[in-house]
Amino acid sequence: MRTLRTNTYVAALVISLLLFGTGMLAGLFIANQLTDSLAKEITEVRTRTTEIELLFLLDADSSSCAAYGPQLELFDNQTAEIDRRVDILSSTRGATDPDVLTLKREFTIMQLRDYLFTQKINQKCNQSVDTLLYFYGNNCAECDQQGSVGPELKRDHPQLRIYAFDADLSSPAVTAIMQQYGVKSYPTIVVNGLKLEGYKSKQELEAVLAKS
Amino acid sequence: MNATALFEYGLAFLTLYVSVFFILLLLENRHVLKHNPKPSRYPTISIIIPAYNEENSIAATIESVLAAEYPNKKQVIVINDGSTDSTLAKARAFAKRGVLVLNQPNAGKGAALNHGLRHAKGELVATLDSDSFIERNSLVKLVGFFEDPTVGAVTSVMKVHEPRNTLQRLQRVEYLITVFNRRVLSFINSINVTPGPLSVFRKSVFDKVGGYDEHNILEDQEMALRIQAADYRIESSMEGVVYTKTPRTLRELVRQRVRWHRGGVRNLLKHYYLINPRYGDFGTVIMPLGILSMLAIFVVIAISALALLHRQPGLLEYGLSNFIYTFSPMHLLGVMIFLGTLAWTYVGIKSIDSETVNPLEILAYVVIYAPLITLFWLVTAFKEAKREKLRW
Repeated sequence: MRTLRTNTYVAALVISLLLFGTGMLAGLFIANQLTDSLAKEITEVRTRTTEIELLFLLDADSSSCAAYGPQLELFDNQTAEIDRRVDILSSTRGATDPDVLTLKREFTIMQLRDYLFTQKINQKCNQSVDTLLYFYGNNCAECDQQGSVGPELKRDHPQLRIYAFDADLSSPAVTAIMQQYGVKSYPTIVVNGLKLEGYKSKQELEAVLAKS
Repeated sequence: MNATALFEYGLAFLTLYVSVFFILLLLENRHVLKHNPKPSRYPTISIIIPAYNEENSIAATIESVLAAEYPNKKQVIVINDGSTDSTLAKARAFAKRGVLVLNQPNAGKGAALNHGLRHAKGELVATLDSDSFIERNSLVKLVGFFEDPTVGAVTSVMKVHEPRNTLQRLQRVEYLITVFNRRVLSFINSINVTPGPLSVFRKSVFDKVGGYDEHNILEDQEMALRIQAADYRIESSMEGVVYTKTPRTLRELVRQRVRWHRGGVRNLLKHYYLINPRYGDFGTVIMPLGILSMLAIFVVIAISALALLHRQPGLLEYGLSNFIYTFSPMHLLGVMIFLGTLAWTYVGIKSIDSETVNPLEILAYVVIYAPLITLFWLVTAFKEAKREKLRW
């Protein structure tokens, strides 16, 4: 009669459960650490913006204008990296993952503040830093194509400040700025306050930038 | 957690479980791993060599058998299965040296083996492919296992004959680890194939389970399943060696593996009744596992295809940082299983005394074979869907 090695099967089950459990726990721990570190970076950038804003408020006679530039540039680099990571996170965990949604909203708010602040500095310090707002949504065929134009433009015009907003995020702040510019379809781009609807190539956008 | 993730984690756990089971099995049997019983007597043996269009190797195959030492009667039978080349003439040249050469119209390997079996006089029967060569001590190393009266068949150490290109060097690693895996499977009497290149049988086994299935394209596996069904033990030697010719190009390799897979699926369906606790570990675990892993491969292929279709543009470009930033427990489990596979392959091949293998070759084997297996199964599914005719 043939036999069944029950003992070995049970021992293997216990050991593999232990291994699996350890692997899962360690994996979850590392994954959380990574999300935490991303959240921490966002907080850090937020603190920095608040600092610049304070500087702005304290500074009545625009003597700090020289200090804003480098600060904003630093901010720009950090947000680009965060944007990239949020992007990767959303593509693997799914756009509806609660962690991803929170990070995305925080990031959007941060961008919006930065945009408003850049405008104020433009006024106060008499400078003209170019800004580009890009509104996109899900189920938008041209958005994939349009999305790849942004990084190309940024590469050739490092001074240009680009802000991308996901209209489907249903963030009140995004809704408000969309109303301000009357954004109804995607993709829509606002270059230095001028609204452009539909897909715009890099060359078209450069032409608009040159004129404004 | 969605269905895909649930499946992935389930599969990871199952893989882990099966791996741990085999590691335990190996540890429990570590003292007999290299055990190769010395025969106290040498039963008479018949070596059956079916040949179809093997004019380039048949002479060397027969020479290797004639040169093999054996302290008792050794009958050599060559069956020419309607070759259209000079195989028959090449074989007949050995008639004066005592080789029995039979001729038949082309009827397939199974029929040729049965033809040989009808003329076999030995207490034991070895089947040898006509593109394979044995060592001087191969037979002596294999017959000791038959001292145990419950043993019905013994499998050999299959090695790649003169590996020249990269694909053959990879197959060399594959063949060696297969020998080790088969040895571990023998500890729970769960070997499911008595490979055509060289296996030895107790002649009385054929009287009990019948001859080869003449319409089967994987007759060596089908035979092993029937031997299992008759409750014999199938043993595995890590010392009796056979060198066999292997595909040189990817095209030939795919052709060979698709034949194995298509034949394998048919044999599983034919002998589904073996999935039964009555057949011990083999019926309870190994047979169901074979079916499960086959299904899993297709689900994995489907999931990967969906992921590729729905991938966000730019995802692949992130490369390593993608792996780090999107870290999930699956990554850790994946790394664990990957390293485990490397270690198992390394330890396994190292335990075959006559072979040395470069760790880099093992890495290449593990990395390259995963997509290759996917390819084999995809082509298999494609040919099944087209209902393409089965061909040996």
